[in-house]
Amino acid sequence: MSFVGLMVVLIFLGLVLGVRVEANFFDLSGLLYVIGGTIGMLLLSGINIFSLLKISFASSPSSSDLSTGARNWDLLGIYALVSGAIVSIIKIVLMLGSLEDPASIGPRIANCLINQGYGFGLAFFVSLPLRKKLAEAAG
Amino acid sequence: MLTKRIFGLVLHLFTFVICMDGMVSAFVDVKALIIANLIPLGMMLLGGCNIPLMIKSQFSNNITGEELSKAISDWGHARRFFLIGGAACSLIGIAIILSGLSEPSKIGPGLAIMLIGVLYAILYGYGFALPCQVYLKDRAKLPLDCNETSEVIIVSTFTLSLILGIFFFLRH
Repeated sequence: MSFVGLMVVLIFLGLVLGVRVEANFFDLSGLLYVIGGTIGMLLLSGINIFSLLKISFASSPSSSDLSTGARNWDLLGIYALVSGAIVSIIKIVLMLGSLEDPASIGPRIANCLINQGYGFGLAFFVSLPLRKKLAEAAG
Repeated sequence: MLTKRIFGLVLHLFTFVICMDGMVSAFVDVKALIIANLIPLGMMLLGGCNIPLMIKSQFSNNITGEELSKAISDWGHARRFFLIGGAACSLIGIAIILSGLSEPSKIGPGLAIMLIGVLYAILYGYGFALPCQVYLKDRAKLPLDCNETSEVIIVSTFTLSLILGIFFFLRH
């Protein structure tokens, strides 16, 4: 059921973003940093990502596993927000390096915000609901 | 465990460099780096943080419970000191921009100090010091504080307002 919920969130998010085709909602390097940076920070914290995913979608995990999983999803949300903030500052520094065309300022600022949106999305659309589910199951 | 942690650090730095789109030199500003690195270091020394113990605790299992608590507390303080370094960069950058509004050549260096200082403060404080502290808290079986989540939300909101502020500044 959790997996179906995750798919519903991702599909509807994709549909909403896909409606406005004139705006570019996809930035590979930003997305790569948000995902790679979040995973890197989780690994640096000594968290086993495979066991985190296993606990989240397992049928009957133990109570201690559930509370550990909830704590780790909480951390993932924190790291995703940090990655989003870092990538948006990187993109704005890159934008300030090439200010020749004033018309490109708006779209490039939008790109910075979209990159921050990746972090927000990972933290609030994915991590927060899974954390809530595990924390409630752990009691 | 150590191999996985080093892999995590390398992955983080690798994706960080990729995200710069090959413009690494744009992110090297000597003044911003000095403020963002040396102010927190000075504050850590002034505040009595045991820096060798902080580093040792990340690699060694042979430390006492008392040393572990001291290292956890010091990493937490280091995180805050890095943020203060970033805030100092912002203030200095804004002061440079505002003092030379009539001279457009002063705006670039001011913005560079402000943004690069904030970038390194967030990277050191939350991309490095926080995971190191969380690792030690795991070892000591301590829970996460609520402060960490709220601090990160404040940092994200600050970044958003910084971006919008720069947009309106450039527009006028």
